[in-house]
Amino acid sequence: MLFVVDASSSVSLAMQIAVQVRSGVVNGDLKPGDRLPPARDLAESLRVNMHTVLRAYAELRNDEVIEMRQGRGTFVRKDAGSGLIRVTELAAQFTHEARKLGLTRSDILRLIQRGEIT
Amino acid sequence: MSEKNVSAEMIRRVLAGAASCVPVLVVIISWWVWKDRLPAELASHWSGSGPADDAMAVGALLALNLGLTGVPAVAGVAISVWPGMSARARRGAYFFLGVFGGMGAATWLLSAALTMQVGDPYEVVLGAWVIVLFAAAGYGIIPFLIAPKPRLKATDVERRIEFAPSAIGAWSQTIAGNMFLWVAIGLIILGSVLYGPAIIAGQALDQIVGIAAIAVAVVLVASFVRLRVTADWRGLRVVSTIFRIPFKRIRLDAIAVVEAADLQPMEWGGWGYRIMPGRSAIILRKGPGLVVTTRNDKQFAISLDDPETPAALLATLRDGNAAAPERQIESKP
Repeated sequence: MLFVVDASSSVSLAMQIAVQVRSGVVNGDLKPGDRLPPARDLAESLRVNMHTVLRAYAELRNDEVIEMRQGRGTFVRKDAGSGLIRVTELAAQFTHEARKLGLTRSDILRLIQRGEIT
Repeated sequence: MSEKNVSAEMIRRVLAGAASCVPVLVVIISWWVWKDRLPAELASHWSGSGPADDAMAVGALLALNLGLTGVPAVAGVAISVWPGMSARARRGAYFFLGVFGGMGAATWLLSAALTMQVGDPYEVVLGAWVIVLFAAAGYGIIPFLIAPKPRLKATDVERRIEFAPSAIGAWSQTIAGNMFLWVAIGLIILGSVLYGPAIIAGQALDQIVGIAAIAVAVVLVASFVRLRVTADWRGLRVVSTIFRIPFKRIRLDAIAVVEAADLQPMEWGGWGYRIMPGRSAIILRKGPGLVVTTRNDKQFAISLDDPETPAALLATLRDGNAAAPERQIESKP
């Protein structure tokens, strides 16, 4: 899969990597059982510190998106897609309902931001 | 194509055609030089390591070898001026014409020279001179190298990826070559059948060369079972994930054209790891794949599910994405 990191973004590089892996699982670029590149290799490819990639992988492991098998590599978990797909479906449903009520894009974003605060 | 390139290409085609005529000229000139010394008959056939078992009149053998060398010469000249032929096909044709022409000339030279030396054609022993006959087949490489190389395709087939100037991209995929797994298993079974009894009987040392050859073949084939393909600011790399053997490395600045293509195994010499003159490929299936043409006119192809993305990324990086190689991105907390 394609990884793109932007050093000038306000989002941390580790977070950028983690988000792209999650997106890859949701949109089908990454399938359950797919192997991710070793942290060292990906760090060299993206010219970032290896610990940045490891931090991204650790976050994805904690979120049960990937599993790191000792000596064998890093793989997308067999059940990785379910939670993310559920959230994606909920987001689509939420947007649809909000549009039906006549809410604008900024209204929807405000609602989401309020949800983050509470 | 510029006028200068067109004329240079035409000159190379004419020279390659002229090179195809050299064998027939060798036959004619040698006959002209030797005609007063040649016996009436020349040795023409050998069945084993002994003396010749057949002979032909000089005129008949000369006519035969003029045909063997003349046909490639005429064909070589014809394809030099044939307009609708691809450069790749033309080079291949020159090669085979050179092989036939070279062997034809060598046949004449050996028959004539050895018979002149011995006198009686039925006393002529070919012996180690047969090596010359096979070596002459190598003449095909001369017109092949002289002929114009295939031109690169226009780069408008390449796509690009839009990046922010401060961004850098990399693409990585692990691909499975299950056919290599089956070949490795087949080799292990073959090795077990061939050398298992010797190993069980404690005579493995007697068969050490064969056992080692099978072991090396198994390791090589098994290393293709899982391959990691990476495209980034360094270029394209194909590495075995099992033994970390680097199979292919093409530097970014060496890439002339990179494109996604529909790979036909027969066009790349079949399935598996293929190495041909100027071309190599890892063909796992018929279908999509990445084709890289380097600046020195070599091509590499590999089967991939999604070749468009690495092709676009490599083209973008090669053409100077803002994230230049010398810039090191600092890790953010």
